[in-house]
Amino acid sequence: MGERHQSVIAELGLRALAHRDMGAFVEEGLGMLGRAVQADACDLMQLTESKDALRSLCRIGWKHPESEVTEELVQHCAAARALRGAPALYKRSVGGDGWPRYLEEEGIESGVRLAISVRDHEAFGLLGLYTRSQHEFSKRELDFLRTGAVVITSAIQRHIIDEARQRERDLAAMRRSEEQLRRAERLASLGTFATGIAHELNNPLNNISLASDYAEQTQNVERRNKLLTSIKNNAQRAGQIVQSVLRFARDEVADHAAVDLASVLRRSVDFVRAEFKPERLTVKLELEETLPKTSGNATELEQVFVSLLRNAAEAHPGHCHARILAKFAESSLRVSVSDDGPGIPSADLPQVFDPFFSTRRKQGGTGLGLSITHRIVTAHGGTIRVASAPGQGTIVSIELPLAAQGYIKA
Amino acid sequence: MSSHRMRVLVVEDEVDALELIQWWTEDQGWDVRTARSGQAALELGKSFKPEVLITDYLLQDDVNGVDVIEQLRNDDAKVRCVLVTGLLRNTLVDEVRRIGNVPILTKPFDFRRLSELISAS
Repeated sequence: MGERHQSVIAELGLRALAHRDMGAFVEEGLGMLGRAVQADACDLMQLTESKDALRSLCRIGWKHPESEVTEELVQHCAAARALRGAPALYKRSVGGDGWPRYLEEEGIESGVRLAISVRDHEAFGLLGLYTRSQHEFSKRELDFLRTGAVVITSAIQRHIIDEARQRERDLAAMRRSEEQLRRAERLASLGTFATGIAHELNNPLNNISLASDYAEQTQNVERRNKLLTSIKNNAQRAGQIVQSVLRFARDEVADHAAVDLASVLRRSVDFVRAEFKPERLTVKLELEETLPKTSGNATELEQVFVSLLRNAAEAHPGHCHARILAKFAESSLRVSVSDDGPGIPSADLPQVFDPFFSTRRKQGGTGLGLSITHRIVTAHGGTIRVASAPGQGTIVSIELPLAAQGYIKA
Repeated sequence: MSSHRMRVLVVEDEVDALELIQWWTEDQGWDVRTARSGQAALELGKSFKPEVLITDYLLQDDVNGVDVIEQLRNDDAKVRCVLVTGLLRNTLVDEVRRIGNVPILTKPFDFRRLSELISAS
């Protein structure tokens, strides 16, 4: 290699180390190599992902420099051979197999193509240098170009590795920020939840605090006895809140099996009939003759219907007429629980399943009943919808999958 | 000559707490009226003209404790107020700061604390 060529290689090496922009470096390097061998045009063709064609990555000295060129690779063509090793020399006068058309169209007379490979000799593409007049590439020139190609190759290789590392870093950073976001969301919902529990517990605790304080001070026996009852009731209320929270926090169901919905509904109705006097609640149960089984946990499903009926009765200022209708339709079990109560304002409807949302807080509602109901139904692979309007009553529609369709854990 | 009995209005929607605060304030020899909602408190405030107002923040209706304090102070700037809350949030502190100085009593509390805050109000 001549001195002039050596200094070009040295300069190329320096630029390869210093470059910031890979595209700009390849273009620069290509230009330097081209000028050193007095080429009229040069290009860098990259193998496509499918490895059956080359696509121009960088072009210098072409009549149509912007146009992207794609060249199909034929197994035994010169380009394919060049990709496998030795530089492929081109002479228009001699012709050759499979030299691309675009060289003809550009008026190229002579040319040489050298393989560029990266990562353990994996072919990356071809470096091409061309002249519009006849030119015999000397061995020196070919040695020089081969060395230049190695420099460009190693720069590309480093760039590919850097890019991959950067991608990994980006990906890791993205995962980290996603994780942080999830954590923040968890904390936020935990915060809301904790706030709700704190608020709920504060009232009975305050009643206990005031009652015990007053009982200590008073000489009035009647009041003192009344306060003892009040303390007991408030402690029970606090205990119920804790139980509700525990039920809500438990997100898996102990056991599940095929469940006969009809008996679940009958038991639920018996349960609330025992709880409410007949002048407060009447329940009409309408069951389709043969209801197929669903799968899940019978106790939990009972809790769902007891909770819905209890809601209906408690929300009703007078005598609540509730109706349960269960049928099999469109390959699922459909149960609707309707009442003739005061209904739910449309503004409240979107929140009815939110934990701690309650319109009967003062009557001792914890605001967890419907959210637990929602959780149980969803855990059974079902859906629950509420339709209501003030003065129109409320209809809760539940759809449960058949036993064969399996059971989805929450 | 009968000594003046301090007029106290207690606003609380928790029945148990309301009754207890009523008993205790009556035991102090004060003239006590109670309300369970913000709206009722506003109406009672007009006729009863309390000198002391003890009100819970969260009430059953759209009128909260801060609204009650603001309205009653509008009618009589000298009315002494204590705000009771189960949950002291920064937003509530800001809201209270907006209407001026009001001692805030957080649940659970006892009568010694209530007594201190009435004196401080």
